[in-house]
Amino acid sequence: MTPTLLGRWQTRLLLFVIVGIPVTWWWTEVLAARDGGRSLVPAGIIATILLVGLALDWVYVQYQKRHWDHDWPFAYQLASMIFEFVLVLALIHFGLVPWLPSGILYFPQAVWDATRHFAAVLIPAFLLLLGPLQTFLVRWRFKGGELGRM
Amino acid sequence: MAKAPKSLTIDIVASDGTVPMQRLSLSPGRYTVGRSRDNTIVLDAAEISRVHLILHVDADGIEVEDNASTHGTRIGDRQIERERWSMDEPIVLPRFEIRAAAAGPAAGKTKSPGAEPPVEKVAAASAIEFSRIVGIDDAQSAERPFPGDLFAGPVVSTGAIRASGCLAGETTFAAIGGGIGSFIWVDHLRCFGVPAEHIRVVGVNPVCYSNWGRYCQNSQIPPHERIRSNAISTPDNIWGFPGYASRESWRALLSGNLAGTRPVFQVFGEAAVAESYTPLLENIFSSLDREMVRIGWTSMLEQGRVLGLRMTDDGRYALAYRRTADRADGGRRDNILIASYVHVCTGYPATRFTGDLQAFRAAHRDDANMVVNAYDPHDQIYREVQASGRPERVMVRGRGIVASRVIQRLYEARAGNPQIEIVHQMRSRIPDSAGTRNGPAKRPVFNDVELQPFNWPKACWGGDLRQEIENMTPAQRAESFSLLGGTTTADRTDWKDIAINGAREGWYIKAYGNVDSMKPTGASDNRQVAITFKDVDGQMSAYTVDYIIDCTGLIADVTQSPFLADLIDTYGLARNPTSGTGAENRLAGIAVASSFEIPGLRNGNSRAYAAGTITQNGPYAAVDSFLGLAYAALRSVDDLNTASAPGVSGFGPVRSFTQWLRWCTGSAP
Ligand SMILES: Cc1cc2nc3c(=O)[nH]c(=O)nc-3n(C[C@H](O)[C@H](O)[C@H](O)COP(=O)(O)OP(=O)(O)OC[C@H]3O[C@@H](n4cnc5c(N)ncnc54)[C@H](O)[C@@H]3O)c2cc1C
Repeated sequence: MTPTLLGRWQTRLLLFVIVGIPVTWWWTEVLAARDGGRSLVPAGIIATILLVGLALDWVYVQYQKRHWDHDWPFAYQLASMIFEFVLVLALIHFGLVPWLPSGILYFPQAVWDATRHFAAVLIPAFLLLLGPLQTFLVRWRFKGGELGRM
Repeated sequence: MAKAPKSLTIDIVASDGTVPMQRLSLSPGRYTVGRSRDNTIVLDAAEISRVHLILHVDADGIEVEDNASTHGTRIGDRQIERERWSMDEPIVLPRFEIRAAAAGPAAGKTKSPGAEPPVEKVAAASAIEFSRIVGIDDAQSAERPFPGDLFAGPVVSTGAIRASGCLAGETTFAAIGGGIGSFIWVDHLRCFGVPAEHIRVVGVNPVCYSNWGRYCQNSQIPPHERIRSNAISTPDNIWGFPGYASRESWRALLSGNLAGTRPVFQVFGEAAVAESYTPLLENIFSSLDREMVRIGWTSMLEQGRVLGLRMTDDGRYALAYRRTADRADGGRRDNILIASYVHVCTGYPATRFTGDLQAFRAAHRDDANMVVNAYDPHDQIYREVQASGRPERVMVRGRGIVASRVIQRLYEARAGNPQIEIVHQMRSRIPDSAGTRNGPAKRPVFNDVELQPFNWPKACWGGDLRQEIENMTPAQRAESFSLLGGTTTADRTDWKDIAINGAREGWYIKAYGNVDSMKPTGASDNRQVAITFKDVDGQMSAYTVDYIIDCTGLIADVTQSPFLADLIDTYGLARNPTSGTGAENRLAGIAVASSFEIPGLRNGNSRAYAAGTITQNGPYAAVDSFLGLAYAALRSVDDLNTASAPGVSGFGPVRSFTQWLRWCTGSAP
């Protein structure tokens, strides 16, 4: 993949809408059935990953430019997605996310829940990037990940 | 080291005479025969077409191809299109015959004074001009060739076309070329909603990959070798999914071959953690076979050569073409097709020799077979050096992907003859630290060759570089192309090993510089070329070699195609600037808009587009690649939708996905 900054942002938002939101909604229901009462924590975490990711996209693009082909291999994509998740957990842990108190991660069960939630978002999102997205958006690959017409 | 296939000798004879006017010895290569001055063999008579026929000479003999000539080419009394010549019967042209040389010396009755041209003069010419043969009384018979006066002006009236009796039909979309670029464009049209009945393709070859396949074969890429393309460059699938890597792995998995699933992991890690994946040539062929059937390619194809394109007075285009003989119905070969939207994609106009090699071939005809172009048939060299059992030294010129492949082929021949030596000749050294720089990035260098997975940096196809180049002025683009477009090869471990082991063991030698002198030497059964080079520091080096294989390229000079030259002349079409120097010189293609429309050809609501190497140095760098052709097709078909061309949908997500499902199931679009 050779995404541009705008392309990264648009694709990230698209995946957030078509994968992140539905999976998070479903996950919230799953937790609600288990714990009684809906929690906003999954939504908070996924939204935080989105924001952190949008900022990191700028860094990734600078990194791409250091390589002759301006390439972004799938391996990097997967690694960066996992990195963003771990980074957000760390930010929460250190109390650096104002809307998510660090207390939400005190229990191992909470970290495990967050991990499973993230995996449920990551797997379909990454698989879509491997090619299936192109079957809907035939121009996407030529536009560095931007949506719409040429 | 006897040269197995002795070059073939032919006589040119006047139809009414028996004495050869000229005797020529042809070594493997491509020779054009015709009236215009830039042919290899010039036959000066009015009935001879500008480029009348082409002789393809290879180890097995001569193949004769009629170049849609007005009066045709016959072998004996059979009209031919393209076939092997057994040399028993003469090739019959108006006023001339070409025959296998009779025993004994040529009488040379009218041998032209220019028969032994000085080397300098030939080097400057665009073709190896052997001789100019003047017909007897060429004042008479000034019959104009098709389409003649009809296409004399820039606009032709549809009434006049009808009156000419040549109108073969009217269509909405017409693709000129019939190669891979035409195929990808038509594939897009079909998926976007255009029925096959509204599309016509005019091309010389019956199969869309014939021409490309021939280039691959000549440049030593057999069907089981990998080409230089990535997994998602899928000329048979407009979405690029599933790519060739997943298909290859999937097939391996189904047959229980776990190791065969390597391609998907390669794609996952390329190019940072794994060598770039490239597909097998045979898989490209078979996938195209399948897609040709799916979209009804044969039903749309008119086999023939396009001779001219003109605007019509009713705001469309007229396309004059000559059918290949076996396809002509009722004997009429000259046809005109009228179309509203036209796509021009005719590929490389010619193979080229660098000036010095061309001069050598012209000056030493009997020894010309020691110098070949890697894109022309030259298999016999590998067979010959492998079988000789004696020391053989082959010089490979150039540092691109074809040079790498040719070196690999010679390395393979070493298994049969360990006395083969490879002299790899390059214009200059490239120290490892001197790779091209673009901002903070540097292109890696190995063994004096810059490395890059594909022929442009990857981001030129669909990344930031594509956008940047599109937004540049033509002058800025030329500068950018000089920088990004230099000759490169792929980073393959096997190729690196050949260079490393060969240098250590002494059978791989590098030579630098420009040719200073070149002459044949040795006894008649052991001819060789003595060649000296002068490098940038004035340092001289000398080699004696048995063969020289020139891997420096194919000519993208659009004026070498009579059809394009006429189009450019008639409409004063703008050209892109050239870029680069020496062997890396990129010639100017026809200027196109970002939508790949040729602006100078807009006619009312009708539009004409171009794609492929003929648009070189324009708004898109990677025009000459499958993925680049897919990009060009998408841009132009999207533009057709904007122009409300009939049947062309907007191709939104729903239509795209349902069409993709049809592709998966093999149903027609
Ligand atoms: C050795 C080699 C290897 C390559 N490998 C790759 C690769 O791995 N991946 C990749 O993406 N690209 C590769 N390329 C580039 C490749 O050539 C293009 O991707 C592709 O074949 C170009 O398609 P085209 O339609 O422009 O030309 P072609 O496929 O050559 O088609 C042009 C057609 O137009 C016909 N034609 C010309 N003039 C007329 C006329 N007047 N009337 C009618 N028909 C006419 C010709 O006969 C020809 O059939 C390679 C090129 C070469 C030479």
